[in-house]
Amino acid sequence: MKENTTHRVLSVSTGGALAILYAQFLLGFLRLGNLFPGTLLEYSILGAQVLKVIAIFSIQRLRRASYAIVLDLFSIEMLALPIMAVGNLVLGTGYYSSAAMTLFLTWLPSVTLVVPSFLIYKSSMDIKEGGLLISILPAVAVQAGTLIFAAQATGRESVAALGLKGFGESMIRAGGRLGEVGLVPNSIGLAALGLIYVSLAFYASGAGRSQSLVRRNFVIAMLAGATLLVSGLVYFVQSMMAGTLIVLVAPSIAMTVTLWWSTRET
Amino acid sequence: MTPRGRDFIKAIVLTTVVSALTDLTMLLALALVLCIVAFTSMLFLRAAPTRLLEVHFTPESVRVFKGDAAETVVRLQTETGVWGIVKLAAIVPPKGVLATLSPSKDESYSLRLETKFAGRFEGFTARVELPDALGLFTRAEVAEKTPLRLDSLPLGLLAHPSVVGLSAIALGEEPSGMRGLGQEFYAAEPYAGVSEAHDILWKRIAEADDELVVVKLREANVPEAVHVWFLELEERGLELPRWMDLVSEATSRMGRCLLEAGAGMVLISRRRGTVAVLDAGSLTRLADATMEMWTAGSPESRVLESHNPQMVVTGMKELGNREIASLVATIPSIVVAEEKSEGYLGDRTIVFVGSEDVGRLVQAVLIQ
Repeated sequence: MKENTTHRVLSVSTGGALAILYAQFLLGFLRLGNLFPGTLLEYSILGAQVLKVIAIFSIQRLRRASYAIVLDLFSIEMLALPIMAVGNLVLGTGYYSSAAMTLFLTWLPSVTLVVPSFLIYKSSMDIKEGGLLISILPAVAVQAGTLIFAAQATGRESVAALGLKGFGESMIRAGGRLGEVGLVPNSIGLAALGLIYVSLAFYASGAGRSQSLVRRNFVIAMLAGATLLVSGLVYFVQSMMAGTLIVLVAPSIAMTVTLWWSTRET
Repeated sequence: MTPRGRDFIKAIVLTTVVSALTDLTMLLALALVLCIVAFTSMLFLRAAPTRLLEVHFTPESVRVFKGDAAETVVRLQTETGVWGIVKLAAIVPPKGVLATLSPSKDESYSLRLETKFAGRFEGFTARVELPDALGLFTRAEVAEKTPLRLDSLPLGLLAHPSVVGLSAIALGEEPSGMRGLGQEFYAAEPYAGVSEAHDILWKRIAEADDELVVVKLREANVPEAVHVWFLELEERGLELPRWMDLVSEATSRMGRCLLEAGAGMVLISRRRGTVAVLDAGSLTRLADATMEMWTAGSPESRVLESHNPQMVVTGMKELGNREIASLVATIPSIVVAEEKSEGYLGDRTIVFVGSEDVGRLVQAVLIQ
């Protein structure tokens, strides 16, 4: 398979997996029914995000802009928060503080609802064009984590919530409980994560690049072997202790440091 | 580490941190798996046996005048092994040469060589990079000896030589094509009162209808070949290109003057225990000799006894040797000074720093 074709396939599979997570979140949101915008402010803020997405999709320079610029554009409403904080201090009334809280709690679910549509497209395009790993891997990880978290937040936490502001409060509460329960993706979420895992493993290892068949097979064999090893490690650790975080993070960091140290140019 | 390797390491660290914050075990596992794969790949690369590398140049020997650029095509012949492409990273030239490598379409490379020094440049090394399976790391291999040779001819070969006036009493083996006192007939001219009586062509006067007295003019002779010794005792190290440049220029200028005067040159190159006897009887052979003098010759032998020096080319540093100093004092010599020198070494010696006229010295040799 040619390199371009491989990148297209990986782009579709990664984008598709993220889209599944996004769809799962949206379906949960729609199914509840009580989280739809109820006030003019909520409609305005959600509408503003939709307009921004349309504008970004329409302008090529914005479509190709970095993640930082795109997120800056979506966070423009947050510039009002410091002004409101100053107003609160100067006038001494609680109006501005509650208004700021309302603004933030409405903005947070609005952005979560709208922004993934563009970020999924951007990550897919980056993979298709053979973009840098430092841009693609963390971005996909953040998106996957956020979408699973958002889907989780539309569950038990949001049953009694009302409007976008209520959804925002549910998200904050769910975030607060994240340390206890962690992210628990359902079977669809797990499948999507599995697809992301395979796609990113292929992309990052360069198994799809133009190279000899022996070399490609060797890379795939190494990936399969390492996956089995790590799966065994995770299974063993999960059956022995509560958390797997340190078991996975520590060797990764240690190995990257070793790799960097042993191959540094003197 | 390749640029892709650096990107990989940064991405893994960032993904590990992000996945740890979002508590996504599967993506944490992905980061660890990629680490293990990269680590294994690096170990395989380090353990891979060194393969015999051959670097081919077409042509292997390039000759240009100094300052001009030369081009040659480089091809890498190596066992590609399981990892595929082996890349030629650089051709490391000897001191004084600028080498620019650019890949061509047909898996070969174009090598452009430039130098501002004259002389023979050898000892080009090739740096080859073997990538790992993931393209993250490379292992450098160096092909120490390549057959590439750059001959940078001195501009003295192109310079018009200064007029060398031959002595009327010069005796030798080669006709010069100039008026002199040799044995061969050169021309006839009317008697002018200063000619020798035995040069009057009596038979011709008797056969002629007029009464014009004509005299024979003789052709001047020059030596068939002047034996020039090049003496080098000291290692020049980093100053070698400059030293080669000055000596090549001096030798080529001297050779051109001798050729212009009708004489040939035999260059005896004595460099630190080796000797090479080089014939420079024509312009082409002079160009060859100014290059060959820098290639190691055979160990010194008694062959030198049949080549008594008529001129000497040596360096300032060599004058510390008593034998060379006495040779320079008695024989017309060119002493090459790598740095500007105001020293005076007598009428029969020229201190050459790059542009001195050597015609006077050549004339002195031809007079002898």
